[in-house]
Amino acid sequence: MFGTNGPDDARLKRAFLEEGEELVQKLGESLTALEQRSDKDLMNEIFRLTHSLKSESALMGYASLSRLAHTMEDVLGMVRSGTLVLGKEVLDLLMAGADRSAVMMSEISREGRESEAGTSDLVNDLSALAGANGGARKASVGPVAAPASDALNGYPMFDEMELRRMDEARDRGESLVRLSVTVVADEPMKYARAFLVFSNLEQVVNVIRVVPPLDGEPLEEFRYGKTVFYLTAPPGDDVIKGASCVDQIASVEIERIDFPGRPDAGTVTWAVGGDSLHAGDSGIARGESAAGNDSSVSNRPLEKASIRVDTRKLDELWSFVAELVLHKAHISRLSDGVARGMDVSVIREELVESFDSLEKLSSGMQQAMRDTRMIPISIIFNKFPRLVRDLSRKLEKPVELALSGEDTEIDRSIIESLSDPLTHIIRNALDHGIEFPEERVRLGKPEKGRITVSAWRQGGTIVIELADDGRGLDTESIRNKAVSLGIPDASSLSETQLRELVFLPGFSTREVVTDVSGRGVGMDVVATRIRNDLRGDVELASEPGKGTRVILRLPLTITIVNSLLVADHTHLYAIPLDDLDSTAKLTAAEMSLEEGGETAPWMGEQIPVHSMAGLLGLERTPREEYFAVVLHHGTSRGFLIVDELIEEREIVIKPVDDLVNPSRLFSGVSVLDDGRLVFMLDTSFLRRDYF
Amino acid sequence: MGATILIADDLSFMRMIQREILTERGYTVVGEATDGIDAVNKYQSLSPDLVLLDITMPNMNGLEAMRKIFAINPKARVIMCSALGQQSLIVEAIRAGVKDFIVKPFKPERILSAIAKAMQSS
Amino acid sequence: MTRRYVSFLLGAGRYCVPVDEVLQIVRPEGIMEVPQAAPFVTGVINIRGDVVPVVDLKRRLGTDATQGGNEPQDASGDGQPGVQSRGGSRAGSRARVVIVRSSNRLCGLEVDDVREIVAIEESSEEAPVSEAHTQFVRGVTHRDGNLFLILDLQRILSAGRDLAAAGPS
Repeated sequence: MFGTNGPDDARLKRAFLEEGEELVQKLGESLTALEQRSDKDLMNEIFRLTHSLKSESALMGYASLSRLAHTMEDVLGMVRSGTLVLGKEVLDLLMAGADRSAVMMSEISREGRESEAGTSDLVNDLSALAGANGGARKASVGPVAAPASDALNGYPMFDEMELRRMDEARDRGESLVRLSVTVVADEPMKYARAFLVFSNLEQVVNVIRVVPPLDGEPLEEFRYGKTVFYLTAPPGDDVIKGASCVDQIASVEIERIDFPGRPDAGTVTWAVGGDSLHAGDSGIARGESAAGNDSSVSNRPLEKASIRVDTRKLDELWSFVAELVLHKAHISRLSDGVARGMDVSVIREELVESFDSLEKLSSGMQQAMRDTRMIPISIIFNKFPRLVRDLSRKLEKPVELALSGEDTEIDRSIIESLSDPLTHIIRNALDHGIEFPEERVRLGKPEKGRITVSAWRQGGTIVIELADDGRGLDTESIRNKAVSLGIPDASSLSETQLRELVFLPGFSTREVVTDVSGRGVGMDVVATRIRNDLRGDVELASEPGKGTRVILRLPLTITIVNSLLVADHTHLYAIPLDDLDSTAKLTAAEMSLEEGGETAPWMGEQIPVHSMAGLLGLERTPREEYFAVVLHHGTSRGFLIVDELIEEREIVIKPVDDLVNPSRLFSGVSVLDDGRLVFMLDTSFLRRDYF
Repeated sequence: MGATILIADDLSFMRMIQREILTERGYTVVGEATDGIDAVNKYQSLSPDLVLLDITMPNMNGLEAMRKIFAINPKARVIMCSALGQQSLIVEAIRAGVKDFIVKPFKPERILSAIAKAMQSS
Repeated sequence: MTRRYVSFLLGAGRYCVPVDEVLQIVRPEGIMEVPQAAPFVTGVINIRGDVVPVVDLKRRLGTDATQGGNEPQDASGDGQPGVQSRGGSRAGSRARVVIVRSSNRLCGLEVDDVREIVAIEESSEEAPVSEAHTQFVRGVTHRDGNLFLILDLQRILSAGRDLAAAGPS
């Protein structure tokens, strides 16, 4: 990539050395600091330094140095992910690595090249460390319980650094305290509130661990409703009370507990059991084995003290960072070129190229970062087979379950809130929807009932559909119930309106509230959860005798969607490229009028013709030729006529309130830099002809 | 009671509400500031017992103003007011030493109890 | 228990909403038209990055929005009790949009004039009298000879999911 000789190169080399020397120095200092205190920021900094060292020396062709840094990075990666505990020898090895890097750096500076001597042993030792637990790293892909939380005695698994700090505290005559702080329920910023307490505490006592953690990315708000601090302090509760009794704190509980038992230094073994990772017989927490069994650990897959990210996603992110380093060097070369009077047109060309790549890089990184927040919905779906099996046995209704779209990814924060509503809907389907086998056979249906749960992404929304082939909604009995409840105009409500009633509290048309789905969570709670908490929507579709479908739509929180900008009747709209087949021109002649509406030919079939104007209830301006786009939604396709096709754009969409979007035509709204509004189209209107 | 308080918020409506609530409780509102710079100046000249600072203000935001106020008096009592969605700013403010924070829209009891607690300590 | 409310004028009526539901008060500028909204929605406004619907409160409450107060003095022009003032009366410079939040939704209410903050004793609240208002008015109270109508924001914001469908107008 870079010239092997010439003035450019010398300058580059100088830049590399300057930066490199600073790097290795900081690395050494940080590792030393790490010995004194275990600090996640410090850890991240060290990782970053090592990574930079690896990439930059690789760029410059110093393979040995790069290899050394690489193995250090691997080991650090495993410490960071909790696969490897930062014990004494690990730290010693890392520090040896840092020292060696410094030596190599000064050799390069003096001799102009690196020397091999003494590096390979080090590299081997480090690789051995990484390799011995390398297998374990693979298993952390997928839903895993973090090692930081363990049911035994309610102690988190303290790492070596934390245990050391506790030792020192014990020597000072302090004891271990578990402080549970509960934030007032209506405090909107629970995380900040917990942080305030933490900040106060830090000034007067030794905080060892916070559950859930306050560093790194904040988890969902509700998790900080009760925050537990493990700290050491001298006897006497006043100081602790003073620090934690901040306004908006509902209650504070102070427990003096025993220091946890100590594992032998360096003999913590990490066993891999299926999808979960847990400590082997390590004698943590007073000599009791923390091994447990897979199910006890995986029963709490969502209680994380840190988030788990698929290592492939992290790798992707890191490769972006490495590319950034390349570009940085390239641009630095160019700026040197400018100073030396290099040909301007050449510089311009290369700059344009660089910026193009940077642009792609930056979107790629944005996407990759967002992806780290996304986890596959299978994490919830995986519970369903068992649920259906148990219920079907209990109710004596054989039912089969089909899942699809399990790898559709959704934001972590939504996962917890979705679980209950989905479970309830499935229970409902089994309890009320699907008929008993004898009845089914009598009706000519297959004896086994069928439930399908599918998830897919549609532009800026996640759609989850739960369908059963049971009775369908009995709209007449809903109407009767409505009348009996005194709902005005019940007799003249349309089918759609009647179906909406199901979401009101008190609307179970089964007089007998069965054990399975009657208690607590009703469809009204489902509706509230989806509509209010998750700002999504839920809708029912049904064919009497054939079945019911519950369709949930959830907005992705902050989304950047690649879209096609179009205009119609002075307004701007964005069509997600995911939903777009193609742009097209339609002539009036091509369109034919059929029963359901207008159609026109596309790829050998006649598909419906819609227009933006039509969707809004306006008159379409009659023309000879129309601009249109071909859209798809699931398997449905259609033309959409617009006034103008503008350009492709990345749109940051935000949720849009129902008041502005009563017929759910839009999945979001955005404000362009110039202040203009753009509405993002929800293509599900293509499907509205069904049911 | 009778502690002296400085209110800083760029919205006159907000200042009005806060003034009302505080005065009724017997606190003395010694001044109102409309932006960060104004807040710092008024803190300097009026030396109030406590400052209510809004986090988003023109010319200098609450965070900056707070830092400057702490430079004037490390023991200053500052309560930060914020809208939802500015949690990371609040966390930064806490790191910098703010005593308490209030999320808008707030209930009057909240602001009063936050002030009471702040006045109790040191 | 006393609660504080922000009061404002709409036509000749005096309305109020709880202080802790009010986020901001802005001038009715920069309201952008939207292609398809509920009939009482004037448009949307950009508040610190959020796209907030603006509700024509007079229209939402219905044509009898002038009932209630006995103070005809306001910028809406015709100013006699019982005379409807609709459309165009927003031209007065005192008109504002009150940005409120209710169950996690933001909304702007177009009002003719924002007045003082009133403290209302819960016990002094009475049930609303006028039929036309019952839907959106949670209660009424008298103070200094004036009638204040306390709005139910949740009802005002609900749209489309209403059974009594599109409400008045």
